Amino acid sequence: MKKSRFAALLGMMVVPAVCGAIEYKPVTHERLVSPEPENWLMAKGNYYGWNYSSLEQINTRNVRRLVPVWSYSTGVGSGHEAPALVNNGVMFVTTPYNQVLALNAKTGELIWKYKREFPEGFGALHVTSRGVALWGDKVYFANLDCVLTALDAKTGSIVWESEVCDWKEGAYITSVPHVVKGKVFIGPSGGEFGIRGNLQAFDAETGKRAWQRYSVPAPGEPGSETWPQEGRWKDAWKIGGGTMWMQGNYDPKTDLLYWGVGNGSPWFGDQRPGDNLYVASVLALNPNDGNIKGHFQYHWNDSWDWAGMNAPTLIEVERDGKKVPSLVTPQRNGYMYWLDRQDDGRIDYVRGVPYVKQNVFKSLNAEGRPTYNEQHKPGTGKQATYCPSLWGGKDWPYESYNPKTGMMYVPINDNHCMSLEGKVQERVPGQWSAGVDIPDIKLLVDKNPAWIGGIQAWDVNTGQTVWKEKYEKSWNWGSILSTGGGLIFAGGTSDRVFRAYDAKTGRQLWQFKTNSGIIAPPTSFAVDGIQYIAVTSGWGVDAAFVQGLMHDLSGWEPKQVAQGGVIWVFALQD
Amino acid sequence: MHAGTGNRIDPDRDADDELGTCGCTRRSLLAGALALTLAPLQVAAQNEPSARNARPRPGDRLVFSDGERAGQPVSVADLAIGVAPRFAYPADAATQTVRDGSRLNQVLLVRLEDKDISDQTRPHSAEGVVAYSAICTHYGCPVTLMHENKRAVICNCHGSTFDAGNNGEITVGPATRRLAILPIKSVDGALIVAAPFIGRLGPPQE
Repeated sequence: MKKSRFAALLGMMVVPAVCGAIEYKPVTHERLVSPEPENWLMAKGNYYGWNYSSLEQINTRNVRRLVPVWSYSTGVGSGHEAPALVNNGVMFVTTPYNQVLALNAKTGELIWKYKREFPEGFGALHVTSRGVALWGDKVYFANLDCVLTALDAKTGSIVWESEVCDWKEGAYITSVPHVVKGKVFIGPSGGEFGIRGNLQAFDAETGKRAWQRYSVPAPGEPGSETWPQEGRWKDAWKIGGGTMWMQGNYDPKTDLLYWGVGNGSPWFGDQRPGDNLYVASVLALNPNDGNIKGHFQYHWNDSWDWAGMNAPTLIEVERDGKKVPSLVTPQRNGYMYWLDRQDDGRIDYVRGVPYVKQNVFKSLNAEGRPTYNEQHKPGTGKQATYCPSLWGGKDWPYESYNPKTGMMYVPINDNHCMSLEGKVQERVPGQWSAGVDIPDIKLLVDKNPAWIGGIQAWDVNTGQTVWKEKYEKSWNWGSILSTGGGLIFAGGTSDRVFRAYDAKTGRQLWQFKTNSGIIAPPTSFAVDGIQYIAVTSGWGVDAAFVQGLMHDLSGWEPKQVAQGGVIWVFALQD
Repeated sequence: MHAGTGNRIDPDRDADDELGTCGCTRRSLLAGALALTLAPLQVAAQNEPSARNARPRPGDRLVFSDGERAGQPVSVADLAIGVAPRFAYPADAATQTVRDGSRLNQVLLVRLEDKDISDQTRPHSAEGVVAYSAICTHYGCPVTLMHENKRAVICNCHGSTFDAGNNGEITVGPATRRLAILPIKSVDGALIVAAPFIGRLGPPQE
């Protein structure tokens, strides 16, 4: 029986898939460099990482008429962290548990669904996904269990699969893949499991691996001098962390990728004495071969789990009457940075200022290197408190840059600190080995904190904040979308509300209470001349973990925010 | 309604599921995916029962799964009250084959004070030692920590806590399913599997 079915499958090879219902427009380099306003072709909307839509049909004058036009249940719980990509009326959304949905973006009808079962015994720290990448007629999805899959965009059938990492070692993938010129880039997670961080490039047509770049250099490679060369910790580089688990941004003019590098492993820097390049850094990479063309390290010898995984936003900042190619980035360590990006890949420090309460850095020198208040640096057998906590001034959610207002909108969390004491945890493949056990990670907040979550609007040219929003009794776990209609859209709070603000003033203009909390980035698109706003509501992962802590520490309600994913699509009521 | 459900074609599954709205059958959609054509053979091979990935069976001996004594039998004397769980695999008594082919066979062993063992759990214990699936029912991380109460075990990924003295019941989430217990007995100090796992293994697959 098996034999005959296998023969039948072989026979199917030559049968063409007939599926003419969908007009799918192939994604090209030109389209990714200059995306049409009606489409949302990559996770952050453009290569510069702006999370901005130039559409202006929905604007400050009419946003009060915004209503949901369709919704769709994803069928799963846990944290939904993927933006809705849209190409010519076809929407792609990923969910936890290895699932991709393709929907008619106008009607909400399901076109196809892909779901991959976890292998027997599979385990991962998170089961979320941050979306798909598009190229040609394919959709690229990274499965949690370390497999990168190319799907036929029209049918959802598998075109190729490639192994990226080994989940039995503690590696897993939550990141959205990123595509530049026919290469698919993906970086595994696992910085709490002794995974040596790396980024890999795969040929978009064949799935063949083109290159792999480790963020922690091996002995003899440039940067290895910043790791222990001998003694007890000489092998620290092998388990050094620096995972590259958030997608990068790309400058098509200089052909340079900018990719963030995560925390050191284990978390305590005294187990890997040295600066530890390229942990907690941004790298400028040649996308063709993965070679490192430049770097900037936000803080040396990371000891706070302040991952530098968020790639900076590419902006031309006005300085002395000139437009200067810059990198602007609010980092998890609580500092906001302005960096210059040179054509050859060099990254030069310009300015760094704290945007939340930060008690570790005493100062930054002319190169942006901090000096530390050592009493706020935890170590092995050394308890210390520090602010912000490991969740940072901003965790992974996207900031947004709006070229019309010249402002960057940053989702932030302030007024939270942490107490940690490290220990030596022998690494066992597949087991947590961050140097501290979960029950010993102590979040510290005031008994009645005035506020924690908020939004800051920064004028990127003057370097000043223009307005601030503060959320009482909630953290902010939501990404921000800004639009040509002078609006920003944001979820992220534990009250399940999706909000629209006037981008210039910060005045709230509209809100809608969804099924669950929103931790997925909102996007905007248009079909047949109608503008839509899309966002998935599905609370979970660290937002849920911290909410439980806040209930216990400060009595915040609810202890558990309702879970279960729903895609919401909004448009103006006639 | 599922296109491409799972990454491999399952030869034992009905290949004629209808697909969504485009009117294509699963059969035709899979056509042209050259890479897939070899997959059924792999799956068939994986589906063959083997001693290594078979679940624990009565009579199996428990052996250390890691560390310097990996593969050696675990005895009651190797376990002390209040210390972190030790990890073990079952091994076939006749062939000595260690059942390490599946992570779901990994077992955590802890020793408890007699007063901390419930009447329901006591028949499944051996001289104060209890055995549970080592795989957390939240997201599948290994359960590696002992609570300071010397009775509960904790997952080191998100803090799910299970009462080792009472059937692996959840005392703190986010897990929503108790740990499966593996009944054991002691024969001359060696720990032997008395019955198959009671309970479901690993996290729910949504």
